[in-house]
Amino acid sequence: MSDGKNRLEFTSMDEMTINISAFRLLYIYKLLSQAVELSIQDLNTHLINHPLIDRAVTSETLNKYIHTLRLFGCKIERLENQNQVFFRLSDHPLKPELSLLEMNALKNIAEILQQQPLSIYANQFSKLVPRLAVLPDAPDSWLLNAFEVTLQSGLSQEDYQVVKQFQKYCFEGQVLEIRHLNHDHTMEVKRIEPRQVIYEKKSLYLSGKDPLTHKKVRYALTQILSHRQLPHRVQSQPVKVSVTFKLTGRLAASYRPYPGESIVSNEEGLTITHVTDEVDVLIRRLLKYGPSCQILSPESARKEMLNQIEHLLEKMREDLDILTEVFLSKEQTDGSRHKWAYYYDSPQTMDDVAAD
Amino acid sequence: MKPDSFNQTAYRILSLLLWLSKEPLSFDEINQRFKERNTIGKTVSQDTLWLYLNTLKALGCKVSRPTKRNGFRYQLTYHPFNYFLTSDDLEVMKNTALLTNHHHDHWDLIYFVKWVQRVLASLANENRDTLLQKFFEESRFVQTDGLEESIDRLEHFAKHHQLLTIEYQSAINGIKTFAFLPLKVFFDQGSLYLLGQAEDQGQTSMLRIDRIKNFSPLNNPELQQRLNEQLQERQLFIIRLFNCTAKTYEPLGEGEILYPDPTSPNNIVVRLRSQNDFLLKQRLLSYGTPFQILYPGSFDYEMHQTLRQMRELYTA
Repeated sequence: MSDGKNRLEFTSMDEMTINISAFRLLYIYKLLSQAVELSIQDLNTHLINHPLIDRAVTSETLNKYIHTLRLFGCKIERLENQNQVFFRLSDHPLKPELSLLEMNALKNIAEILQQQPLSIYANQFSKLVPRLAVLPDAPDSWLLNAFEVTLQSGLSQEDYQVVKQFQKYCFEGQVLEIRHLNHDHTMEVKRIEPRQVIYEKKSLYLSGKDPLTHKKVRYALTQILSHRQLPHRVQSQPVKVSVTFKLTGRLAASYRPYPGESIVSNEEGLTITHVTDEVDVLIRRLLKYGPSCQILSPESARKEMLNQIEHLLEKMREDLDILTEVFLSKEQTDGSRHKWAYYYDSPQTMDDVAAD
Repeated sequence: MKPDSFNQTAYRILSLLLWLSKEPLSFDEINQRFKERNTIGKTVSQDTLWLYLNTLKALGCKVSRPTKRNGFRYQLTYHPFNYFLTSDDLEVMKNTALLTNHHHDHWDLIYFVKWVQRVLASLANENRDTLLQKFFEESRFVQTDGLEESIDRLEHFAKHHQLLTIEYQSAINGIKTFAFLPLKVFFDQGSLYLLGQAEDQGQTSMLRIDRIKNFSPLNNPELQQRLNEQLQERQLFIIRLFNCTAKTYEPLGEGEILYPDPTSPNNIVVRLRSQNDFLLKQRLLSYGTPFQILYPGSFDYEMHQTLRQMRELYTA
C-alpha cells in the first residue's frame, strides 16, 4: 500500500494528516507496551473504540503488524490459554537502557532486599526492573537469579516454619488467642486479629488488630508461648488515630516531613498532624526528638508518651550501682579482677554471643 | 500474506521514533539514516516526514519543531511507548528505597534514585510528574541530581584528610562559612551526609550534602592537626540494654563489643566509643527498649535531665 492510500484527514484543531495504517500498528505497539498481555479480542476492542481507527483488524493484518514490530526489534510472545490467543511484549527497543553503573547498583540493591527476611519486595523488585528497562549484555534472568532463596533467606528453618504458620493465619483471617510472655516475665492471654508477619529491628512480629481496643498491635514471635485459633474471622481494619505534636528549636527548622503529615508553622515552631494506625511506632520516633517534641493530642497518645518516658527513667535507676562497678572495674583500676571481668577479657566468648 | 511481508511505512516511522528517542536529528540527518538502513534504503520528502511526525504526535509523542537554537533538529521530548506504572509498582519502588536507605554504599543508592527518576520521567502514565513527587515524598529521599561530582570530590578529600573551607546553607543560621575536616560521606534516612569535624564544634558534625553550597581545600596545617586530634578523641560509653539480645541488637555506633548481662539473660551490655553523644542519645531514646548508662556518669546525668525535661511536658 502506498502512503497516499492510507492518509487520513483530521478535522481536529491541528488538522494533521497521518498515515492510518502505521497509526494502527503503532497504536497496537503502544497498547502492548502498557499491558502485561493482551488477547486478540481485547486488542480489537481497543481498536474499535479508538475514534481514528474504529474497526478491528483481520488476523492476516495483525500477523503483518506483529512481524513488522518484531523486525523493528520487539520481542512479542504469542500465548494460548483456554482457546484464547494472547500477545505479550517482553522486550522492545524503546525501553530505557540501564547503564552499567545503574545495573550494578540495582543488583546490589536486589541483594540487600534478598537478605531481608520476609521482604516480599525482593521478588517484586526483581520482576519490575526487567519490565522497565533493557538490561545491557546480561541474561534477562540476572535479577531473578539473585532471588532464588527469596522469603526464607535470613531465617532459620525453625523460624521459617513458625512464620509460615502465622502467615497462614493472616491469610485466612483467623482470630488468635495467644499466651504472651511480657518483659517482666508475667504471662498474659491476648487476642489478635492477625494481619501480617513483619521483620523489624532484627525481630519477627505478628502484627494485627486488638479486637477489644480496635488498635493495631504487634507481638514479638519469640514472646508468644502458645496460641490457639478461635472460631471467629477478622472483622475490620485497625482504627487510625490522628496524632498532633509540636516541634520547637533547631529540629523545627530542619524537620523533613513524613508521608501524609500536615504541618502548620507558627512562632513557636511547627505543629504537625500525623495519621497512623501504629501509635507505638510513632511514639518511638517522637521519643528521639527529646524535649523538642511534645504530643498535643489525643490524650491517649500523651499518656502513652508519658508512660514510656517514666518507664525509661525508672529503668535507668534500677540496680545501677552493682553493674557500674563491674563494668568499670577494668577501665578505672587497671589490673584488678572482678568476677564478671571475664566478659571483658574474653572476646572469643563475646563473638560466640554475637553469633547466637 | 507472504511470510516476510511487513508494513514499510510503519517500519520507517518506528525507526524514526527510535532514532529520535536517542538524540535530536535534522531533516538531512534523518534522511541519511533512512538511506543507510537496508530495509528502507531511500530518502523521504519534507511532506512525508511531516506525515510521519504527525502520526507520532497523534499517538501522543511530543516532538518540538526545529529551530535555529537547536540546529534545526527535531527533538522528541516524550513518547508513550512505555510501561504504565501501577500503584503497586510504585509501592515496590518506594519500599525498596525505604528498606535500603541504610545501605553502606551511597553510590548504589544514588544510581538507584537516578534510575527511578529516569524511569518515572519516561512512563506512559499522564501523572508521571505527580508519581515522581510522590516517590520522593514517601521514600523521604532527597534528590541528588547534579551532586555526583561534588560527592566524588568530597570523598577524595575525606580519604586524604584534606582540610576544607565549606559554605553551608544551615536550616537555622542561613549561609555559614567554616573550616571542616571531612571523615566520610554516607547515606542515612534518604539524605547524603558528610561526616567530619567542624571548626569550633566540640563534636563531630553531619552536613547534608545538598546544603553544601561551596567547598575548597584550605591550607592551615595547625588547624588541620587540631581538628584531626578532635576526631580521634572518642568517648567510651557502657550501656545496658534491657530486653535485648546479641541476636536482636541493632548497632548504636561503631566498633561495639557486646557482653552478656551478668544479672539477666534478657539483657546485654554494650561497650562502644562515640564522638557524638547527641546522636547516641537520639538512638537510645528511640531504641525501643529501656536502657541504663553505666559509663560515663556525665552522659547518664545528661540523659536523666533530658528525660525529666520530656516528662515535664506532660506533667506540668
